[in-house]
Amino acid sequence: MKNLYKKTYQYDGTNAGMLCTLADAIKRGEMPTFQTANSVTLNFAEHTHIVDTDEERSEVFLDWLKEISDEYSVRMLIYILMSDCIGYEDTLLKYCLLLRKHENNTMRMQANPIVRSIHDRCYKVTKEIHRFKGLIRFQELESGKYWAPFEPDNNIIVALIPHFTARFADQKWILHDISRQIIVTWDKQILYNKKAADYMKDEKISDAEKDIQQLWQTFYKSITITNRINPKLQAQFMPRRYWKYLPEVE
Amino acid sequence: MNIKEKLDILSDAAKYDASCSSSGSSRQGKHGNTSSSGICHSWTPDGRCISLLKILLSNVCMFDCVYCLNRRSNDIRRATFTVDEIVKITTDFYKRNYIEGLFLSSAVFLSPDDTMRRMMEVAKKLRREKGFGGYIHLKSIPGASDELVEEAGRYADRLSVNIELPSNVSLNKLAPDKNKEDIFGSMSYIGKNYLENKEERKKHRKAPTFAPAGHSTQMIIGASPESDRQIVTLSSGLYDKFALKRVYYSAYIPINEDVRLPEPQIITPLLREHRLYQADWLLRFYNFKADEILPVTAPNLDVDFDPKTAWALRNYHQFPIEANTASYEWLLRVPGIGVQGAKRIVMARRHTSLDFSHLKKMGIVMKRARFFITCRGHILDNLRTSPQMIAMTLKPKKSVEDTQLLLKI
Ligand code: SF4
Repeated sequence: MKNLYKKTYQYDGTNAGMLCTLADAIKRGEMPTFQTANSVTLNFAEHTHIVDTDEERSEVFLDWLKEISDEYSVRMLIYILMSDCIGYEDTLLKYCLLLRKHENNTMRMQANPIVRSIHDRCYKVTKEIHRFKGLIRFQELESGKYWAPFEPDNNIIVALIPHFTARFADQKWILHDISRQIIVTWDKQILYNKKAADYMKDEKISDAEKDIQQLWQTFYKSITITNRINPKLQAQFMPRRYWKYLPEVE
Repeated sequence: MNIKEKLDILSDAAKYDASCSSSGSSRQGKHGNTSSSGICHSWTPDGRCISLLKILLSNVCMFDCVYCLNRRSNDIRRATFTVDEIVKITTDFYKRNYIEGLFLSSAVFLSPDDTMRRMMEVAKKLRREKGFGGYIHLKSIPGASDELVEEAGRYADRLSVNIELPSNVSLNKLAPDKNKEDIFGSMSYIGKNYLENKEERKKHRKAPTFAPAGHSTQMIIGASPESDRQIVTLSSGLYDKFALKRVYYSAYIPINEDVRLPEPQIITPLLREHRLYQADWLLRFYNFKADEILPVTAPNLDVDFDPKTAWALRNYHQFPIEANTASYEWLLRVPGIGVQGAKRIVMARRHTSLDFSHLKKMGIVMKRARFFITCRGHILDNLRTSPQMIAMTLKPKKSVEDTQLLLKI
């Protein structure tokens, strides 16, 4: 009978909102079903708890997790937040409960299905981050900045910052997540901007850019060993969905 | 000739070069850095990772090595980059995140010193004028003077000298203009400097570097008649004597017709190359001796089995060993157990007595390992057998050739 009255928690679909939702569930000791504000479901008002999104509270929650478990386990969670977690809240809640119960032994519980699921998802995200350290392609703009459009599966733009600031410290650059319309710019300091279109509206690709892309294509073509072509192998390393912004492949 | 045509010719000429590794060095420049884990930026349609701009400075050669496309007597398109051209392409590509850095080698135009000087200048200009912090691997020209090699080492992350062929006889026959003394001379000079510099930097962290990622060499396999035993013995000696980081094996792809070159062999060049890398791996990470991998009685690597399995089958009288008590060194010798696996076993057995289900979870390849190992004194499924039976079970059904490209990566 209890299930019939299983509570629904509704939040705004943001990460901060979800963290607050998890915090509430833990505090109240409930195992609710989750729902985001724009999902179309029937609501029975008395069983729905509407969660207020509060950035600060979401951070307090993460700090609390760090305290009761360890850096590493919470870092996994932060990577997972870069993936689309809608529909995954239930596993995340169970993970947090595990962290509370087993403290810093959780990561050693490799046989536990929750821990395994968290691991796998985290692996997908970190793998994509590593991939894009290589697959990001900058184009020179007339303004002298270097612009890199890309479309990752996960919202990894922030995770790329340390790598590119270390590597291209003396270059002005822009990472531009096209599907999420987020940009991160670097000019001796990092700026995060959610209005990509506004930021980019006066920028133009430089004249020299075409020539250099052509040189790169020339190089790519001539180092290919044509009698060993193996598109399957190539796509295994470099899935086709990432090809859109690579000047070397058509 | 414009820069695009040059790039076309001079990257095509470099493409069979085996090494593309950019790891093992970490450096922070004004413009760029070197990541110690290595990053692939793209993959060619044949499935190889692109991480470095791999080009020749020139393919104009005064020498006439029989196996080489660039040899003097071949009628091919020739080109030579200027120092500035290479510097520009490298920085333009690097800024756009196409590459981790530059891998520059060259044919010998004018003289070994002239060629080496120009390569050194490329590295120098990149580091000094452009503040370039990306990876630089220079292929040192045999016979170039020590001073130039020394200077090149100050700007490069890695220096290498190709040994080219596995024996002096073959070198004389197929690369008549090169000599062993030059090659080994450069190699030992680089090795010595590398080791001294490493010590130096232990004492003074700010001491200038000399090829911090070490040096490597490459030899061409299958253009000359040496057995695998000769080749692996040579590699083993090179690792010991010259502190080499890697020996690369490059399967000879027939490009020139010449009576001095051998007939096609039973084992295809690519599979042989793959097996040699496996054997090399056993030398470097599994404490095998060249003599164990390839004894006088079996001087060539097996077509069907990886060298460790082949060794275990020849030495079956020493198996099975007990997972719960065998030493780490012996665990490493079990087919299907890798370095990671052996470490995990040693760690796990401190807490529990291991059975086969534990081993499976630890990533041990039971398909091979089950014949060579016991758990708590038992053999899996009471499988008693002979090396002949094991060989039959393990013999690949599909031709090894089909799968080997996938294995290689
Ligand atoms: S010296 Fe080098 S480039 Fe010249 S022919 Fe010999 S192998 Fe080829």
